[in-house]
Amino acid sequence: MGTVEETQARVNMYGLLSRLLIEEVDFYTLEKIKENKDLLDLFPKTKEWDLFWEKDTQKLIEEDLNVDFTTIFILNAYPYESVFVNDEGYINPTITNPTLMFYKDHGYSIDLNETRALSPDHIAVELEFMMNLIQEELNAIAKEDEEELKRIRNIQKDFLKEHLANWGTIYLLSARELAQTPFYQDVSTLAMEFLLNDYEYINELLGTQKN
Amino acid sequence: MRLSRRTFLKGSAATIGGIALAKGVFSKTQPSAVAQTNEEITFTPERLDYYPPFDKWNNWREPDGDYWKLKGGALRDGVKMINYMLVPTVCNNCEAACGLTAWVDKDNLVVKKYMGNPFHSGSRGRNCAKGYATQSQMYDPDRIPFPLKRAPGSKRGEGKWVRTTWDEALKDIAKKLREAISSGSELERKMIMYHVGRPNESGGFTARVVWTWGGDHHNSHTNICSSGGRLGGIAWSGDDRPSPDFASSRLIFLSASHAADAGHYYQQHAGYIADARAKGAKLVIMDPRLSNSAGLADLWIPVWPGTEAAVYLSMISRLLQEDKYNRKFMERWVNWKTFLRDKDYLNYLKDNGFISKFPEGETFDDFIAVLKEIYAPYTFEWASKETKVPIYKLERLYEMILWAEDRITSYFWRAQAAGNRGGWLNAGRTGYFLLIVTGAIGGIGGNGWHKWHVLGVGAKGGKATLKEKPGPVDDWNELLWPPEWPLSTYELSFLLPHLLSDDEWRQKWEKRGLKIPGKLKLWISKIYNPVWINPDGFRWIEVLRNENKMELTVNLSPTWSETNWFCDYILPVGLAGERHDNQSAETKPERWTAFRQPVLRVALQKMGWKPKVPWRATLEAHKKAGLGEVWEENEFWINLMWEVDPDGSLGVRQYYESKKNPGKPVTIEEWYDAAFGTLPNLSKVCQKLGVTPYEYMRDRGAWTEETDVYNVHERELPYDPTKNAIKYKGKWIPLSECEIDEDTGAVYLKHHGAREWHSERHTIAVKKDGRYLQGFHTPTGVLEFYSKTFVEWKWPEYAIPVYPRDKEERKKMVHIVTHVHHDYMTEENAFALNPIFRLPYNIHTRSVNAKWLMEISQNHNPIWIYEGDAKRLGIKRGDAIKLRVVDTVSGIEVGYFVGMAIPTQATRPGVVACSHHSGRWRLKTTVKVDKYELGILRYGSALADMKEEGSVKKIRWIKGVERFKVEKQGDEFKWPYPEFNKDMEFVWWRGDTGVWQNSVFPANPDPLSGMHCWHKKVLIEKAGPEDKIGDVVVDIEKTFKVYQAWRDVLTRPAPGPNYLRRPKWFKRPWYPHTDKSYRMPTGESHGE
Repeated sequence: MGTVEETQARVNMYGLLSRLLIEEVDFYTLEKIKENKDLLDLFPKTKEWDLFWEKDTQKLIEEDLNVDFTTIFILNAYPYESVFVNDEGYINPTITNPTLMFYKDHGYSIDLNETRALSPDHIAVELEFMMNLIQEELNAIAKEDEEELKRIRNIQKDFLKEHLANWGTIYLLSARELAQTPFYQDVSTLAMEFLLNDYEYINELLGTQKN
Repeated sequence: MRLSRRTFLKGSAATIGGIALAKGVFSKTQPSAVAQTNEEITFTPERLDYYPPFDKWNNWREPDGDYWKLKGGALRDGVKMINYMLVPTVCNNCEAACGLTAWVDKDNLVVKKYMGNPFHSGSRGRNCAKGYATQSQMYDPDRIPFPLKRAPGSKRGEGKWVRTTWDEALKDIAKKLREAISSGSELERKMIMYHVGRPNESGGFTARVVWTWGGDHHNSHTNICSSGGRLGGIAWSGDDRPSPDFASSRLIFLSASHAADAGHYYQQHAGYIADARAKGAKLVIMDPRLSNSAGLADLWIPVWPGTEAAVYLSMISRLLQEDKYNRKFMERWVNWKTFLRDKDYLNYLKDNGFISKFPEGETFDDFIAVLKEIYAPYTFEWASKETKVPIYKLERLYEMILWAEDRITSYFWRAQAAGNRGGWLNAGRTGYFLLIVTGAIGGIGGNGWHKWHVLGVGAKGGKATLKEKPGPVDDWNELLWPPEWPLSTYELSFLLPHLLSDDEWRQKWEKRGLKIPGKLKLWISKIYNPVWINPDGFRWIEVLRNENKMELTVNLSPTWSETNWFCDYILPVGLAGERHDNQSAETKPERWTAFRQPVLRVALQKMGWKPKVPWRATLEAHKKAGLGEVWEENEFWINLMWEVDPDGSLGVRQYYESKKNPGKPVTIEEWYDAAFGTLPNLSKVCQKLGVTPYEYMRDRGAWTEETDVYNVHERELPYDPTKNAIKYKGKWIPLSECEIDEDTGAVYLKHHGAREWHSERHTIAVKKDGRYLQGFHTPTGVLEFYSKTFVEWKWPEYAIPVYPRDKEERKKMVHIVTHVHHDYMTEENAFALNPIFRLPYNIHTRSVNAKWLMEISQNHNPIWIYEGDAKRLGIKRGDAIKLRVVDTVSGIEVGYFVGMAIPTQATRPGVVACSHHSGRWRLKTTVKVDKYELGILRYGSALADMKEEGSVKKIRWIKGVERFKVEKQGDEFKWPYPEFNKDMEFVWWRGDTGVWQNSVFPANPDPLSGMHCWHKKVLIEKAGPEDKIGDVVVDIEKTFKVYQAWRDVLTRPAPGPNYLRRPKWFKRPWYPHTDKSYRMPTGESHGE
């Protein structure tokens, strides 16, 4: 377990999910999904969706997918951990945000200027954080640094446990309920199931790693 | 279908480029080892909000500014780098407690700059000009570098000083304290007074110190500041000030410039107001003066000062008549049933023409029907006449109120509350009413309360000492709480010299069994300058000079001041980066707390230095770093109390003795570790990080314990059915010890007839829907439209928020009508003077002589007069004008001052303005002490000539600010910092520093709140050939008569029910007093 290929695949998966949840899908990404059979397997409902194959990609994005994205993620189910876990339901973009503190405590700073995210606990930002951690894991594998490997996997486990898998999976369930298009139903399902799966995986990995 | 791991991996293996897809928002804050060794320059910010990452704060390299300019940028060769350590602290210039970081140059232990602290969630890494100017205060060439003592044989005020030591001062002060504590006499204890000017601490380290002296010793500056603001809040809610959620509100309706451009929590509040406006909120400023905020606002309401209540009541009236009130909130949280059930009071209202008939029943609808009748006369037409504001402005305001619904915020503190008689009613009592009627209380975008959000733990370090805290004290000091003002929220501090001079007053009360001292044996003050900032400053000088009235006088003060000049000891304590305080402020709906600390001590200790005597670490560090013998108060007090009780026989030492090292004084680390350790969430984080709470606060400077703190009154208190008890402030209170108010659900402790007397009540909860809620700390547990307490203290006419409807009623209800009402402006040249607006760059007495601030302000302080008025009186721009101060209660003219006129459209007709934050003076420019020449406020004050002809006192400016060359003096200190002060030779701003208006103002204590009412009626004329701008002439016998008139004509003295000195639920600030102390001596046998 924990081969370079496997780890690289995790990097890719987190990167892809982060991209799909941070903003509306773009022509390039959607084409890529369309063209690649293995990738398309991750979107089973989309695969069966007539419009997906029949409609012009750009038009599909503008007339169907963007509408759905806005309905789900911008208008109805705010994809922020602080909104989801606090009773009051407000975004906490301040320095006291526990997710931000987690990033800082583990040596990462964050610059949201490049994104539309209002706060560092946006689900896509959290997914990207996991991606970064796994990239570090790749470096550790390359250096055969067992200590570092263990450390970085523990951070992943903690982050999933305390943050992303804790609220993200439930959040994605509600996002799936709201989704009107097969594509965003798939995106929500994919993200949710992958998170659950990856959390199990990282636990197993740490269980088998030598102390 | 459940996707398998295999599907994931196969699919994602195909998505090579996942990294490229992600946005790339993260970067590592800890660069790899390789990058670090090659790294010459770490400072390459791309954005303005950049801040060095926390892990580099102990070792941050940045190019020197001068080299930068010479060499053309950070990335060039040969740029000199400074090795910084960033040490957090807290600004000390106003009340907002914004975070600062001191950038300590580790190579020569100099603070090169002060910047913001990004860990401080209130100030968000930002500061105003006063924060950044901390450095220019720190390296002020006119700082006092060592303790000073009045030269033996000289008189107070002669200006002859000798250098002394902290140890000598400790010995002298300790002797007086020891005598009083060991005497066992209440009268002796009353002769010891601690008087704080600028507290800037929360949770009360100093409060605990004064408490351990065993008597009633604490005096404050509060009644020249905010007691008018407080009483309105207390009457409604038991809490004295709002905590508005500006950032989320839709309508920010401020009275005066407070909050937005210079006020109480300026900078933090201004930022949140700006955030709200960016989201579409409207800003309304009600102020006779077109302040910076009013200029930027959506609506300016140029109200006649002291008639603001009319604006609020007219809005309330319209909301009621149009059924636009917030029924849900009012029905649940207002004590309407108490009001409807008090038939005696309804009768009183009927007799006085406020209602024509009794309400039909006792339902909420009946209540609304009564309100509609009471408030019907307060129409927009009526309000326009009373306030002199055009009706169309009131209409616009009303539209905004309707639009904003329950997202309306305001702030009641100074402005009308501090300027006017009845300010408490014109501010909080009627202002909150509007917020309550709209339901803008407690929720998002509304107003919380101060106690919900402020988080001070400064006094909670007691676990680090052998004994945590003393019990409640038995004494009541009438010099602090004269019986005439039983409802005053704070001490009548500005009357101290009057009370000490008033034998007749003292004898009157002594005949009734009170024991009032005729003098003080020790008066020790902190950052306090009553001579200059209080009204009737010459009366202060008179008493301070009198060694029969004030035996030993001490001022803990970082700078020279007019008051210091008349004291025995000037003890130089630290500025923002040189002292310990825990401070918090209710600036937003969250609970943050911050740590002010001596940054040079912290830097030295982090670099490995160790103090010889750990409980004197700061003094040692400041000496080592060349700052001089500048100490700080926490350590000063610990050492003083050790000196008072060296062997523990007085029972005082135990409060200062280290639990960790018995027999030794507690250290700052031990104290604050225990204090911050009381915060549960901080402790959790500390455990995780492997640091102590002290270390966390030392390194980061601020902590936010709880965010999104809303609707605390709805929070449930724990109830244990087996004990039948509720948990209140950490203790289980059995309900068998409580009674429940059947009208409101208030749960209060049984004692002294609390069922009948609201003044006796101590409410701990309010029962609603079968649950025990936090509620409000009023006798009825809810917001008090009707305050029975006021009836019990013989003020029935003000038990509900009303305002006189016509001139006849204004005469009857004189106690709440401003003393500068337009009724009193009978002469052609009569004006209301507004002296109390703050300047964004100057703060009372503290920022004086900060060269950057002095340069911004140029100490320019004209008298604003409306163009039309100026034309009518033939006054032109730059003219010297004389303002004769006339009291409207006694009719006495007390004196005059001369200022420079600026005709403008930025103040309303009939009202002139001149900020009293300027006009500092000195009697000498330098003094020779030891082998040093000490400068005195040379570029922040005018050199004055003071003349006294019996009771007539005069002051005239001889010379203004100075330009001078700063030269090194000896090798003992870095002071007077010639390198930093090269530019003192180029002081270019003019000499006038404004005028010392305060000295011409007689003391005008509000009969209810005890607030000094700052506004004045003035008669304006052009100055004569002999007059000079800055001139002050005042007769202090006349000002004394004015004080007596306000006291004797307007007040209704204690005792109240059961011989109470003040309502039991009006807490004494700082520390608890016993029930016995709350009662006048003859009242001991009364009550249950």
